[in-house]
Amino acid sequence: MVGIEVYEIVLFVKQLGFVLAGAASLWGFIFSLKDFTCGENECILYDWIALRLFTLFIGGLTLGALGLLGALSMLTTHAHEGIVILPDKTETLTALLMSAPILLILIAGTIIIMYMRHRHPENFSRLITPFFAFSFVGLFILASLTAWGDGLRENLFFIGHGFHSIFTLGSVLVLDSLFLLSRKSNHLKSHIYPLFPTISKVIWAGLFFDFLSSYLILPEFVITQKFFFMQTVIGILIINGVILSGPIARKLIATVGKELQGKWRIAANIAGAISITSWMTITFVDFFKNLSLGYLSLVGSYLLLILFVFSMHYLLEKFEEEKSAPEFAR
Amino acid sequence: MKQEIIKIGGLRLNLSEIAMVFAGLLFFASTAWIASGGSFAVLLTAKAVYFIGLVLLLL
Repeated sequence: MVGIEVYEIVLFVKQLGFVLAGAASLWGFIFSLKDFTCGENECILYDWIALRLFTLFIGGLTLGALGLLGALSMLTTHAHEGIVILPDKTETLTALLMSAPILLILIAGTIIIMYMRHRHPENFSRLITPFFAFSFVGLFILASLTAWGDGLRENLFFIGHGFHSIFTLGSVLVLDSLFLLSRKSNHLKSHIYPLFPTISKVIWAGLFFDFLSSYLILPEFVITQKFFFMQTVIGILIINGVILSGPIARKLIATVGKELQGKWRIAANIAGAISITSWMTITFVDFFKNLSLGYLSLVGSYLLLILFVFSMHYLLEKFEEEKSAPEFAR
Repeated sequence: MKQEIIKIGGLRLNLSEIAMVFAGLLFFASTAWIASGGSFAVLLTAKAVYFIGLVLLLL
């Protein structure tokens, strides 16, 4: 079907899970670290945010682990059937096999920390910050290992092309979940919104890592319809990102305590949907080497996806509005 | 570095954001340029401008 193989979808799910868990551990680490540097009252709040990100981390890790197991079973089946394996499949399988022990260590660590959360909460609150740091390192390696070949240049490209998604797609997802989380509480908004410019800087730097890694394979660049589509999406992503992290973020920070209204609210929702869809698209399309859709079909699918994400975001916002605001000791 | 905000149309952007928008527009231009048989020069320029915007943002 349009040049997409099932194992490629599974590999994308694996990567999506790992980058989400990686970004959740990165920002969870930063929020829980604030615990040691902030004033007494705010500590509770930053810990609370870090714990919400821990839930996101568990979700991402589960998704990534299922994706890795699925991809492993599919690719080793191909090998056992004696089907000629294309070099890229071999490279992918090598990376998956290298990833498996790291994933097992991460899962074991997660089980231990979850056990502590229920049985020894005082140890849990003491160990959550180093745990996030440890998880980030593990997930950074897992996200980097998308394929493993023979050449140094090729492997450096795979690494750069893999880990940047923690800082880009993963951080965009974390930022959006923090935005939804803080919708009902001005107290949360006043602590979360000022961090948006910092998160944006990390996202912009992440995209630069991707650009750097693509220089390594510049001589092998193949001009396809997919390439043109990707360039268009990157152009949209950058311009939309400027509007979102610039004027809209400044407006959000300036209006903490008040509800964002009118054209600003619509603009924020549209820009948010374009951002998530675009990051998801450039990560997704990378995984499908033989995608046979033409430029217009790809653009059409992309626009439909923006509409879908916008609708989902709207529904999630409505759902969050119906929930009562969390209370914090002041 | 605190950057001055400049009003362009209805948007208020600082210098790093203007550089980023320019980089984004260059990505569109490079797509058209390469499609019509051109080299990667515009694409590389777009990435260089993006880098300038990023440095200005991080300063």
